[in-house]
Amino acid sequence: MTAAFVFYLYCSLKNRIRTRVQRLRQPRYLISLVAGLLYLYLVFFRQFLSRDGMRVLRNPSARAEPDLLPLMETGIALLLFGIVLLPWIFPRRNPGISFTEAEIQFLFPAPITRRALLHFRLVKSQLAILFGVLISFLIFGRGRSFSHPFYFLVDLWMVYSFLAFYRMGTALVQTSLAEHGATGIRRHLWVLVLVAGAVFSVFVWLRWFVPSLPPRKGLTPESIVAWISELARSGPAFYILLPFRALVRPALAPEPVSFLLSLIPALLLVLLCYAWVLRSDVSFEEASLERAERMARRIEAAGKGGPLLFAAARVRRPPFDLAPGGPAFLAIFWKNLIGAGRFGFGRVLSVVLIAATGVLFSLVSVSAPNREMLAVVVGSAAVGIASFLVVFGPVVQRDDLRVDLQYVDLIKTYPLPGWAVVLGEILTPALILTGQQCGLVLVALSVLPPVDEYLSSLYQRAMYALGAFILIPCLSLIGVLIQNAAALLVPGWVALGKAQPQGIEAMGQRMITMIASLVVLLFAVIPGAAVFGFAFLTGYWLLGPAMVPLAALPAAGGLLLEAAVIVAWLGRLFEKFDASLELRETD
Amino acid sequence: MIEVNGLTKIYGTYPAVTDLSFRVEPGEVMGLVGPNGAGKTTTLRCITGIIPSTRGEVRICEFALRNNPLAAKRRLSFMPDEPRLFDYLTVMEHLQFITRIYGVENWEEKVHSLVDELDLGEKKDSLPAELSRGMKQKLVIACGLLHSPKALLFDEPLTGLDPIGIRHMKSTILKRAAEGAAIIVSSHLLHLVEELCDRILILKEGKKIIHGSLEEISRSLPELRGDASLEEIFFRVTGHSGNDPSAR
Repeated sequence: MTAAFVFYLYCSLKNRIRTRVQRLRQPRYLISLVAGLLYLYLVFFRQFLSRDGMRVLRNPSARAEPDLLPLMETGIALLLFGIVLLPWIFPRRNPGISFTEAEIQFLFPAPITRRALLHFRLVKSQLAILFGVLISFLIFGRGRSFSHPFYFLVDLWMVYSFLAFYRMGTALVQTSLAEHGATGIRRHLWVLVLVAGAVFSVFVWLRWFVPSLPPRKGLTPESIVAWISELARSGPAFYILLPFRALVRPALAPEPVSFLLSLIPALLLVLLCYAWVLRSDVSFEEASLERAERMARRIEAAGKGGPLLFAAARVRRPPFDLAPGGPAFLAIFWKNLIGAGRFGFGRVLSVVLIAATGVLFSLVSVSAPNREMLAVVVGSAAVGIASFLVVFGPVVQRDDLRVDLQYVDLIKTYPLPGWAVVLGEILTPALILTGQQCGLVLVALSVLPPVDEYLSSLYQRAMYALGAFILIPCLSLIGVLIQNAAALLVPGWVALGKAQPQGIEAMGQRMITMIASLVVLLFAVIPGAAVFGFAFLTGYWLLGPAMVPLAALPAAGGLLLEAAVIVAWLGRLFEKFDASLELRETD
Repeated sequence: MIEVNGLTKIYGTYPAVTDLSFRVEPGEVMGLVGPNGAGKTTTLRCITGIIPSTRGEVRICEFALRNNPLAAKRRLSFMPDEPRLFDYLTVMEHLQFITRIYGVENWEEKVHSLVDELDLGEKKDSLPAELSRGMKQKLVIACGLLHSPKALLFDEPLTGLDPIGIRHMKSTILKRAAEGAAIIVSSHLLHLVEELCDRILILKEGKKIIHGSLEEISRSLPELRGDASLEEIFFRVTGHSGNDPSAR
């Protein structure tokens, strides 16, 4: 039986690689591969292949920076603890063990024991884990963080295997609880007690054991490191983090003997998780079948250039009632808003709300000096994320033509002019991005402490907020329009639908389109920025902070004019869009 | 009325449809048949404006698709072989959406009448993922009929339907024809075409090889009997033997 499994895995891998290589006959994939490899070389390999990198590999001790090791151990252990708790806080309906449709068809009716099936699936998951290990090694293995790259590589494999097995085990327990109710609770009592104990310990830790933040004046990196170390060893945190520290330690071991010794507890934890999955007597077959069918429908639809099918979402009320009469583009906006809400936006919103509640709670509950420090951190983070969203938000938020070009057969039959289709399509991502950015600006302006004469009064803050609220919608519109223009002009270069293709060439393709759209965005906002700058500088001496919204008005007008011209142009492009030619090679 | 004059569609250098002309009068059902790759779906996609034709003219109820696309599309409805539905809209929301897009008047009455006619009532709050193939097809039909189109195009309308669905689909097509709509049905199911259609157009390699009623076609092919079936005609004019390979 093992030989058959190995044959299947070997052939699948071989053919997958062959398909990818064959795809390189198309110039766009070849160019993308070159771009992806160049990126990998410049960012990751160059350092390894440089003279200094080779010296470090030959002389591992040159890499270690011992001062940072305890901080790294604590940080990664905290991260792992968070990852382990996450599935219990946000449980998902997931069979845990998933098989493809073909595997179900051939393996489930075959004379194979349930345990052999589980073994097969666990071994198969190792392929993905090994690839993940390689990528993570390239990303995080740079610099002088670890004593030896081999220790890091081995430890990465153990951590990823532990997490993969843990995820499967958790999903199986949750499936059992959902299916068996009280019997399920009795059967998995020890797991539930462990989870409840961990959650309770976190509560106790946060309530009574978190040490005071170092004073803001005289704050040094050393004092922050010391505070984090103290934080991770205070009260129950020490015991909670112990197993996760054990998982991290092999990577940080200074020499071979301590590496081998630290390997034992880490390996035990991985084996424990493996045994947990194997011993679980939860039925995974039915849930696997359902999941496999859903996946097959998605793949089939995507293969035909048709719409991607998503997991059935919960039906909620539409965001607003669509009146039967009125501008038709609002119907497309309404449809996309529903799509965004039913497939992720609602979830993102709930996470944001939870985070905001947490921040507010922290601001209210911590002592005064800690509060100011926390306010600086939160405010700066909000500004940073808002700026990030201006540039990259339109790339991520894609409930527009990038999804709907898959429905182009349908939309082209509607009696709508092209500009109305484009306008209806771009409104949803622009609105979502505007909401997110305005919310973040509001958070930043509410919590940031005054800096010299800036942000010293409520009036000033209100003027800055007003200026931001005038400009943000226009910037969002322009950003989203550029992404939609790319989808219409070069659909082969833009990933259509919500799913993202994988592979080095896909990464290269994304980079090329990303860089091109960033350059276009830069040129698009230059006139608006110039208008704003000129108006602000000429009027500030007279009107002070009130000049921020006043200067934003003509800038916003210019950006809106630009947006209108682009909408009209894209509308004409959409009317001429020939799906049979443009999407023929899209996969 | 659907009028097609000199329709040509070329993909790169490959001519998918060449110089195709025909006319479907109000109340008439025309069958579009041909072997795989004959250009049937391309023809339908050009008529509906999904893809632009390379040459030629399409008129829907006298409105030229090229010069007056919105007026033409308002009178047109296309039912593709695969039900194309938005994954995240429920049955009722699909109908609301189409109502707004086409500016349907008396929409409540029409929606309820279609929901009843097509037995969609119990599923009105379901997403497409929760619907069977037949129910999805019914929803596509409901969306297609909501704006009372004067020209209807069906591409393989019976694919994946159960016997009840098939009967329903046939009666829907005939009912709309009786109400005065011009209808094109493209299908490989020759008995369906024979049963439903007043006239038949056979395509091969993108070219019209025969067009007319079954009777007219039979008369034009003296080597066939006067009461020859569409299947016999099809194999004769497309140059296939029609022999059962398993009989060898």
